[in-house]
Amino acid sequence: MSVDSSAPREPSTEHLQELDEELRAHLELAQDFYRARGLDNETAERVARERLGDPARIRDAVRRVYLPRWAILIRGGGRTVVAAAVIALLVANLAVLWALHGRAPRTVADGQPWLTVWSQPDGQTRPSTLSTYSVYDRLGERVDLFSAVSASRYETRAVGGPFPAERIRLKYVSVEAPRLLGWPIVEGRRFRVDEEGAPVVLLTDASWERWFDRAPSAVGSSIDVAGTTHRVVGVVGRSVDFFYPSGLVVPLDGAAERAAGARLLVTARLRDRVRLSAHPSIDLEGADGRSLLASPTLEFTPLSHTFARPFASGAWRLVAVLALLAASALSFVWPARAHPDARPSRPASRASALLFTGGVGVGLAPILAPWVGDAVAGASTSAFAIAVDAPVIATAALAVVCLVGLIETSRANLTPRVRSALGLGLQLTTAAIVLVLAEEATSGHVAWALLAAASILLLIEHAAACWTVTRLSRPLDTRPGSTVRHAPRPR
Amino acid sequence: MTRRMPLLRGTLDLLILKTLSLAPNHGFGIVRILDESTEGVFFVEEGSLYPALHRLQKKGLVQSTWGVSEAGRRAKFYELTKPGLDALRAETDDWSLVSASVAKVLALRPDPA
Repeated sequence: MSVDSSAPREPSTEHLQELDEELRAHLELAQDFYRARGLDNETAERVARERLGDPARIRDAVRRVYLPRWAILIRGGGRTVVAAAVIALLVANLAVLWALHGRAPRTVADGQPWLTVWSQPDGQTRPSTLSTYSVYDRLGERVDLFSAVSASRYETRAVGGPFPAERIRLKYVSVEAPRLLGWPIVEGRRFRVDEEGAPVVLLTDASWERWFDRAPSAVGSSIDVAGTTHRVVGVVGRSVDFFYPSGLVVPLDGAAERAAGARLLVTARLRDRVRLSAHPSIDLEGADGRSLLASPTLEFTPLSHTFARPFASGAWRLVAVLALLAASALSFVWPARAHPDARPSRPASRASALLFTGGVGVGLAPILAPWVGDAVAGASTSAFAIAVDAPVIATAALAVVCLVGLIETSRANLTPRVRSALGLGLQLTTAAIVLVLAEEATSGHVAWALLAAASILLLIEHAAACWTVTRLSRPLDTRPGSTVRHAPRPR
Repeated sequence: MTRRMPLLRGTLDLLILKTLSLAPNHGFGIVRILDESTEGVFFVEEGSLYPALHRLQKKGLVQSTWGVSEAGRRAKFYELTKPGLDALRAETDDWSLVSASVAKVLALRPDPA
């Protein structure tokens, strides 16, 4: 009699054949038992088989015993597909952002590529799209390379005039920018070259409608900007899409900007026959100790987005959002349906729910941001939603409330269906809030890092959830009324 | 008529270990002992026994060997190991504590005052 003291680590074919032999022996012993108690051969065999249950299910359950823990990911096929789809969407989102953010060459209508200027100040390890005014000056001197250079930045200031005072976002631009970028002017004129830092402003379409009801007489009126009276010289057309919604356009004051060392977004347009491939890195002889990098920009008709928003098309955006929401819903519903006895009330499951929520929220943010941004702009007291500090704080507080609610929902002793519904609702609410915050708080590398982190967190969440659900579920359902029928006990 | 109940979750392993502590046995023999000792109260799904046995074997709590049953049939016999015996003692203590605690709560009576 040999002892099989070492259990196999993997369910080999021989091992499963041995299991079949063991089950056959079980049936023979059972039939002997029932026959000895007066059942005929046929009935004894039927009762023995019914009480043993489906051999395929037994084999599957035994095979699961020997599977390594990571194999649960494969066995949990539905959830794996869902998680993979979510991760794929996030990675695709990340890839789109990465590809469009200064990587994919685009051309404007006249065929000349615009460049976003990246500078890498001393002491910084990575280049940034924020430069200084002196960089703008030095680029302007390279007439051999660039036909036009512009600079801009955003700032929130208090404004007043023939309307209630409020804080709005202003877009400061170099005086030549409206002309170089081809902004349509529907009333009045653009800035003149001699108006650098002058107290003049351009209205945007939103502020023109909000403050002056689109009256042509708005040109020439006075607006108080941070205590200084400015004169309206023109109105920018509706087609100009600023990256951040802005109420006024103000000319930069070069001297003040240089003195303050303000950070600016500098853009430049290559001259004819100058190709970026010949100048992948433009060294301006260490201007201010900085070396400059140039890369093609995008979304430059007119200057608006420094990086493209993925799924800009409404239909594709809708598809992407629906796919993510469906994946999110399935991730809650599937475990509850597949394992009705599993009650994910353990810390690992709560943590995984949090991670999933955060991951989906961050992943949705770049996709939904334009929609939510528009919605916020429409609902705000300011038509261009400039002073967002208060809403951001409020939404942050609401996000915390939702997350706490999610935790409590997972802890409560609810039925899986109710818990799934509550969890899904809270998850979606949290995701919507997170993307509002992300719209304001993230940009460039931060957004990419968040997306990458979200993908990793989703992987961890998926593994944790699979592990938890599998651990909490029973290999065979032994409850009365289950799919395995039980024969009456023989007398 | 005996009222039949499903096994409480987590108790099947304990009952298997206890059964094997009496003597090495095969799967059907274990089912018979559980059925007879509980007078049919616990509804043990026979098919659920084998995943549990293999799980215990993987943990090293039982070991198996092929032999011949009393009826002359070839069968795979399971036997408790030393770690299995230790686990049985520990789980028996835990179960005794739990069941005694539950019994105390169920024995509570309303305050006559």
